[in-house]
Amino acid sequence: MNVEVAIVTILQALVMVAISPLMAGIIRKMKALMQGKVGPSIIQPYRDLRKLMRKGRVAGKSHTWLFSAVPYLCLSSMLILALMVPFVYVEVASPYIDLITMVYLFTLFRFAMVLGGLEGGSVFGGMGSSREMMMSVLIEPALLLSIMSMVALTGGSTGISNIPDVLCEMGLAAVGPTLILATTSFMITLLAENARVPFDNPATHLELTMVHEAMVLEYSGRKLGMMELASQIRLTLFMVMVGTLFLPWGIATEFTLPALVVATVAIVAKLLIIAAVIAIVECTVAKLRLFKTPNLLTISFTLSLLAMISIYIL
Amino acid sequence: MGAISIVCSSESSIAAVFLVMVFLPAAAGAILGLSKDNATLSKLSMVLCATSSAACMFAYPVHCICGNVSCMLPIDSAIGPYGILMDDLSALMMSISSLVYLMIVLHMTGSSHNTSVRYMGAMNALFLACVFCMCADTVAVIVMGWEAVSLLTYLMAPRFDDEGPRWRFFVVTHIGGLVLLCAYAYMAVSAGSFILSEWSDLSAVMGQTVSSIMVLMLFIGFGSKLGTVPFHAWMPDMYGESPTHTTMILSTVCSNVAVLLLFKSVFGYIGTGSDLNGVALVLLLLSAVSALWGAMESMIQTKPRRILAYSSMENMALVTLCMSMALIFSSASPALTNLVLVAALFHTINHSVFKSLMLMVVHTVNDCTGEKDIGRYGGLGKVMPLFSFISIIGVASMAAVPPMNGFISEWLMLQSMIGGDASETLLKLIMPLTVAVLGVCGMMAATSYIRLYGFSFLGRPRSPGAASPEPVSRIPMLSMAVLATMCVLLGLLALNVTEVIGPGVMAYMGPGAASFKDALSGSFTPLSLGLMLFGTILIIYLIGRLRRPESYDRDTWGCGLELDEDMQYSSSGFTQPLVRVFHPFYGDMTRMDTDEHGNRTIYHVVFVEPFVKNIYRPIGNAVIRISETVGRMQTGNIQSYLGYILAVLVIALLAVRIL
Repeated sequence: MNVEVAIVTILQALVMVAISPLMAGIIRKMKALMQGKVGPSIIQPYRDLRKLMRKGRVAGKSHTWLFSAVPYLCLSSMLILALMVPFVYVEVASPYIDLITMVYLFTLFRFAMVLGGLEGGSVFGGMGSSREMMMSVLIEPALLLSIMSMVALTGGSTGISNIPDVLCEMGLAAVGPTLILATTSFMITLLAENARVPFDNPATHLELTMVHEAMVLEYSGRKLGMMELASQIRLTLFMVMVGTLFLPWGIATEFTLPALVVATVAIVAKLLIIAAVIAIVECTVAKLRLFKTPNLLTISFTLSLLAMISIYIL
Repeated sequence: MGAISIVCSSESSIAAVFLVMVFLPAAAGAILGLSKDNATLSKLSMVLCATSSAACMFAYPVHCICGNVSCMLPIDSAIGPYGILMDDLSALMMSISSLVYLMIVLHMTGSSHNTSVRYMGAMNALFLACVFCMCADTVAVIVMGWEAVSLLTYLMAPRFDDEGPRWRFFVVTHIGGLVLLCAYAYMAVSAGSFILSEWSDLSAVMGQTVSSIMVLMLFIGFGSKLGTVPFHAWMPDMYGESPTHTTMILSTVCSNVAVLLLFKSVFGYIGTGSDLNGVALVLLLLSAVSALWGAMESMIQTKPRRILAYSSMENMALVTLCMSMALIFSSASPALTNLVLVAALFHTINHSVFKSLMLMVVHTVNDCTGEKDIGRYGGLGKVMPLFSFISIIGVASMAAVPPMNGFISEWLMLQSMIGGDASETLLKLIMPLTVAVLGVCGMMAATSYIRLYGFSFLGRPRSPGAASPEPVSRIPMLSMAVLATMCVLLGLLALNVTEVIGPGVMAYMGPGAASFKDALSGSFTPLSLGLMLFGTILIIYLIGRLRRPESYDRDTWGCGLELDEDMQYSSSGFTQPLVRVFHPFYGDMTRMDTDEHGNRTIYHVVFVEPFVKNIYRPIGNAVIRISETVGRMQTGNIQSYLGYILAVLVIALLAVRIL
């Protein structure tokens, strides 16, 4: 890996981290506009983060060292992922980490956050953790399978930059049942994994709807800020993954200035479209009852399994 | 009678010293076990066991210096001579298993119960039996060693009020042992030799049908120890009720032995010369069912050791899953076969390390709090931060969190599945399904370990014992710390470990074997991942240090109420949503009773094993019914017995006449 690539990798990781709160703000703004409200400014999440980062934390008396360690683990796993996911240029830190590791880094995030939820000794945290695990038993295999089917579609290498590379080369020939099924499954996974509407409502603190919010309920001040930032990065990463791993057309496969400019325009457009899709889903679909969510998750799981099988049959 | 000769390529004096150091102290300790109970003798026996296992840890280094070490006794038995051969893979397994064994013995010193001379003698003998099994070179050693392992573990479980669990174990393992005996006897006849190292590619001699039957028998025989469905019925009870150190050895060292022998027998001796896809599919299915069932049951158990019992079942099922996939791959790609076998063996090694660590943790928690139910723990992390840190390393390893060792073996498994390039369509369909099985199992298992850790160490104490636990003494803590370090090291240095396992596997796969690395379709360096994790955490921490806002500790918010110990999430509530989602598999678990006055309804949770209910019970009932019917003939009247004899004689004569 030469120096230029390393610099681009780090730069694009920093950009992804920097725009994460903005993406959350944009989705919120889009939702508000669709619902006929004015809504907060799109840079509101930055203000929230700045405020949280300045505040001290209050923790339950029963907390242990793990309580403080969890935000670090969550944030660092997401930062590493930001280094690994291609954003505008395909070559990333791939010799060190591959797609399977990528999926399991999301597991690390979840592992840490669920333990953080159990840490406080309150009922809310435990409830959130319990529900999170129920969903993740179905989310995780779907995530794994949809990414594995993309791997199989592009020739079986689990290197991260391989997928966009091969897909760009294949062009429209790649658009087939596998790609469509895998992308659909991944979109459902995106909503579930990031606590978006049919599964969870990020905007409320009502007991009945809480999964993600319940787990971080005991966190406050800077630690809460870190958890929020980590969740925002996670959402952005998932959106970028749709744009570069599943529908990568436009990404720069060569290290030239025009290609990078085109790639930047393409990824911004893709992110906005995905944000709009999320906003539309959140405005038109009601939150599901908790025990209805496994049905939708099973659909996502089945779609990803079909995606994988379709490669071998068709 | 000739002298005992030790054969190795160089430095035979080192090999001789090594063998003496391994076998002599343990043999002495085993003999001590026959004496009357005495505290000093039991200490001595413990020291002897520790010496032997410490010496045996050098198996791999000794192998590096001396090459293959073999030793034949100049005496014969009815089933051939006695001899051992320590090759690459055996040496590696011996080293890891002895390390685990040593830690278990060290951990015993700090635990309160069951260090009688007899128990320690059995520990010594079991160590010998396991080592003999791992480096067996003749049928006699393997069969006797395996039988000794079964018998000794049976003896190391105490007499319960209810003898059920022990007997179930005894019966199941002996059925397994019998199947193995038959398999080895048949293979010895086919090979025309009792010396295992002379067996190779027996499938060419035996033909496809017989080879398939042999593979199936081997899987059943060793599977009875590994808890393959439906031979797992003894597992939860035996693991849950017997002394923890028996459980530890059963779950780790004995599993290592079983996997190693299974690998050697199937891939080394029978070989993959003929088409074994049919039997491999059956075994794949059995393993997948075992893995899923183990993971599902481990989520709902309330006794920590039963959780770990089902988790052992799940982990070992993943290993047998890999082995059956290796059978499928063998016709298509040798590199892939090697990769999946490396994954299986690496997972076995990892399992023995993290499972013994977690069993120690569970035992220590039990000792410190005096409580046995997971619903009575809580908040231990606050009082024992170091212990909590060690445990979370074990939990993270089991839950396959990167960059721990459990993750690396799952990574290898997934690598082999994605590389699955089988020729037949049916086999191609299996690969996505195995990925799905691995994914679902992994997450369910993670749920159960998070539950185990979260409800023991986090939250607020749920019983007086958990509120003021006794401190952990130094030596048990040391042994746990060593195992935790091993978990991290095996994860970070995984590439080096696979470099060691790879040639060992290839040595059994025949001369033309391709390196497992050819089948890898992605590159990944665990060490750099670990460094990246550590680095980013450090950077975030240092940035945070620039300006630190004040922090406060307050009571957990309780809507204005004072929270008591029951006002927090319970461990059974934690997995309740999952039980609801998967309720068709669990069946009806609640029983409803009313109290003696009939005023109050009491709900109980009962764990029903469908395999026991639907397979073992009907068989048992049928046997009882048949024996009752036959029993009616037994009148005790001499005339009727004479009548039976007459009837049989007449029938026999008629039969002879007609035929």
